[in-house]
Amino acid sequence: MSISYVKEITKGFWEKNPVLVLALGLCPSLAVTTSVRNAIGMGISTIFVLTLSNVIIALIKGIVPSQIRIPCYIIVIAFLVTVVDLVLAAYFPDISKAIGLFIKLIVVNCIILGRAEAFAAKNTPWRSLLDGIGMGAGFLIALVMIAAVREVLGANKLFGLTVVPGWRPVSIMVLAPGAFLTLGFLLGLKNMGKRA
Amino acid sequence: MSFSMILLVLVTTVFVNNFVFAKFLGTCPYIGVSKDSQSALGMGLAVIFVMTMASAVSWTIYHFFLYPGTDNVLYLVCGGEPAKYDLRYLMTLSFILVIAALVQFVEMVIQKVSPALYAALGIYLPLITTNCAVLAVAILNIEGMQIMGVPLGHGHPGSLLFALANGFGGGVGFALALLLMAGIREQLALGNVPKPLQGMPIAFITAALLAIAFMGFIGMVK
Amino acid sequence: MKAIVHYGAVLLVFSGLAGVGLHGVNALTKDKIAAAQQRALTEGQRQIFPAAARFGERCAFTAGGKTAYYFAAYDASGACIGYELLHTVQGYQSPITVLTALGADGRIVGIKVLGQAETPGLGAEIDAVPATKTLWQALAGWVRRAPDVTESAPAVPAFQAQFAGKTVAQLHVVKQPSAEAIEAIAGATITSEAVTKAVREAITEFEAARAAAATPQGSAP
Repeated sequence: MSISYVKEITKGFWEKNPVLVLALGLCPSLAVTTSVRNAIGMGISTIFVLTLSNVIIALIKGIVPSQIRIPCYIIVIAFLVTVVDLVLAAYFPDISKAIGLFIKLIVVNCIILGRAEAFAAKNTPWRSLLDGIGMGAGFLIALVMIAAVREVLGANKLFGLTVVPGWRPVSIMVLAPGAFLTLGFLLGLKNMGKRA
Repeated sequence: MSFSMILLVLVTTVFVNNFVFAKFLGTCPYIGVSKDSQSALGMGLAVIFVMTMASAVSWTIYHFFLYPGTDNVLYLVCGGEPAKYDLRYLMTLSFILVIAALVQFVEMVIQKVSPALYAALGIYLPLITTNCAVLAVAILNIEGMQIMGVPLGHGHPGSLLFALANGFGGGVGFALALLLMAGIREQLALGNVPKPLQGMPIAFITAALLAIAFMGFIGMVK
Repeated sequence: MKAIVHYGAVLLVFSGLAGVGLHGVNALTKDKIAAAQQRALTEGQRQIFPAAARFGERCAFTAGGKTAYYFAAYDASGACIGYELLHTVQGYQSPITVLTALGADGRIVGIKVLGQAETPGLGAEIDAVPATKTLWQALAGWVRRAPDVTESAPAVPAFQAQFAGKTVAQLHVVKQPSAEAIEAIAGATITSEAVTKAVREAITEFEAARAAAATPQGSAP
């Protein structure tokens, strides 16, 4: 039985959050979350790619032979990712320089291929659109949560503005270990919330 | 490229710039496959092979088809100005297709050679296609990879050799990270982990500690 | 057999469509991308060498085994009052591109970091303008709908400002504030050393190249 349209979007926010629940899209969650600005840039780019790829794949699922569906999905996703990459480089060069490699890596973001295979290949374009928006938004929420923790604790900043004047931040939070730690504890917190 | 330079590249990619602990690449399969040492070893070897081959093939495609230089095949065939044949925007698309094809090939080979390993790896083998480390190393070989201040990416005289060394080193680094993690997680499974942290959270916290350990390698190469 | 041909055809059609589509997008954006890069350079040039009315074209020289670039700076009367050097070195985790303004007296007029992707909060502080407001002040201002009192000109980041007026001999990194050396950013020694090296290497090799070219048979740039 299909769920309501509103639920289609909101399920991605928390209950089926791609990062915190489904454990997809971990690479960018760790790499681009050194500042909230970068996280938002990445999140919006992913929403764009995910939504459009879901819609396109739902539209073409009839004409794609099943044996080569994965390469075809990859072509669609790679096309969209390159578009985002070029547009970012043209209109937001500073963000492009900061996270350029990971924008290109959206094409292998497990969320996109995962939703294409698990959802868009079996649902209508309209529902796929909603699913894309919801999952992408959930990804953005998770990224911003991780980035907020890392930027505040690790650089004493939020959006580049100082939070606690004069306080020396815990630098390791913006470095590699901090990323793993933050994600680990966030997942643990979510598990605690689930049990309660 | 001198032998010492190649050695430097290998040491840097395996330890100092480890793809998992320093660059956050390959995290999804890293968390997924590191539950036991056997599958970790098999996955690690498969990734080493795919990364090395993918580096070589993608560099070749970039150099001969996408980059508007004097070696560009289209320029050699159709003449005119090399700058006219700038197809660099097709990099992401062509690289990922190369990787998908390579993984398919590796899957077929493993299925023939070792059906047991094929069964053990299961879903994770085709997932090497979505392993960010493989695509990332292909891209890094072209742009933005510098070792000791020397930009070894596309354009450097020995850059194909660098691509191979980088791909191989990156794969070895990933495999190393995977094996370390698998060993620890096998022990953790017997330990007394608090309920909310069981499974993925403790895996990430372990990865954090391993990342701190690997940070010790920074400055090893001066 | 027929299936493989069918699959191959489908894949070819898809790839072809994607390729054509990307060609179109590329055509639309590549001018903007080039313009954005050029704009960053020209703005940087003007910002660090305010006395210069215009700059010469880009010429190449070798620094640190790589190609670096220099631009001659001319004042309003057309006299050459110095040079701007563009050089890239490897930082902690990314290449750092530095534009150095060199006065005729051999002293640095100023520097600007044009590109870096170092760790935010540590290495990236080389680009950090001294914070004039905190998060709370910004929020309070937004809530009160207070007019934003921003500085008229983009301020020079504190780390880069200390290069102004120094000579090549003073380009080494120390940990305390010093008028005779470059103070490193706390916790970002490698990045600070890299920027200093970029400036020092560019100036040293540029001067050497100029001296070598100023021999009887060569002409000075």
